Amino acid sequence: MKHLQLTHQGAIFTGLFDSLFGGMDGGGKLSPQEAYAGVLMGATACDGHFADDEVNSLVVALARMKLFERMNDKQFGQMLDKLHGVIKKKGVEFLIDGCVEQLPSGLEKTAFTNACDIVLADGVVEDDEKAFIDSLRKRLNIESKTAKVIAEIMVVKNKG
Amino acid sequence: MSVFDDVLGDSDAFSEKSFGPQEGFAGILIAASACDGHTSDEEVRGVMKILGRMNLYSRLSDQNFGSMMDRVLGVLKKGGPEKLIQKSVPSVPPELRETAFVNACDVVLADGVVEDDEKEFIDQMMRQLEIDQDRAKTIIKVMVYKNKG
Repeated sequence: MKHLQLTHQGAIFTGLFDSLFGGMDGGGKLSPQEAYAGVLMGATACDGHFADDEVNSLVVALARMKLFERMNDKQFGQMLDKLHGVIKKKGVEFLIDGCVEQLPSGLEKTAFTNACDIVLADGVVEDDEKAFIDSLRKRLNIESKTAKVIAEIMVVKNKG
Repeated sequence: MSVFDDVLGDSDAFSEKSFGPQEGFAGILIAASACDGHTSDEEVRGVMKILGRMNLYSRLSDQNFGSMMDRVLGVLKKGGPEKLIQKSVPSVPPELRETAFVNACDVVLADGVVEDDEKEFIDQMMRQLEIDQDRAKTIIKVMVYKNKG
């Protein structure tokens, strides 16, 4: 439960945290699928709303992955609903704290690249989105030089 | 002389037209999805999602978008990816060449496997879209990150 130390809530909210993430994978921890999807869901929601283009990019980005190939449509939908629920109740920061902790190792740059792609998908980058990407970079321990290269290529990808 | 040649004379009203920027960009991505020998409906839908978010296509009605895609897919069906690339590359606006290349890499890498004909396609795209080799390497590296897992 190391992720609790990363939240601003403190240990007093342990029970609440458990009940929010509870039932996802027992013990209040997120599954690898939920952790990965949660990061991208955070990217979608970090400007305060779910833009159609961004949700589209989110679903495309997840659906192609082997990580999700064993989930059927119903399970996939339930997973997104749960993550959405956490965002609504506790906010994006809270979700990301839990997700980063449980993200499968080796997928940090993948999560970061796809988060950049989602944020850029509607053709506008708002201040909230810039702050989200900066904070995600730090939490995922991605060097700022690498992050710049990734962000720059994603900008090119989403031009036109 | 065929009957049509007699009727149409030198008029080019019914001859094959060159691609505009919209067909050109779409053509690159459809060729990317077809370069391993087949294009699935799913791949075409994936390409349409990429195009759908672009301002380049925002003024097209659904019907016009559909007929634009028909023209692109028609060239693929008749002439294969080679012919489609040949027609598409010159009509991609210069400021969107890199964007076309990045998205073509994304399409090729999306299934997590890169076959030999896909590698060849990416090399060919790099040359034809005039992307610097080091730049292409950076782009491919980032698109590999994007398509992992």
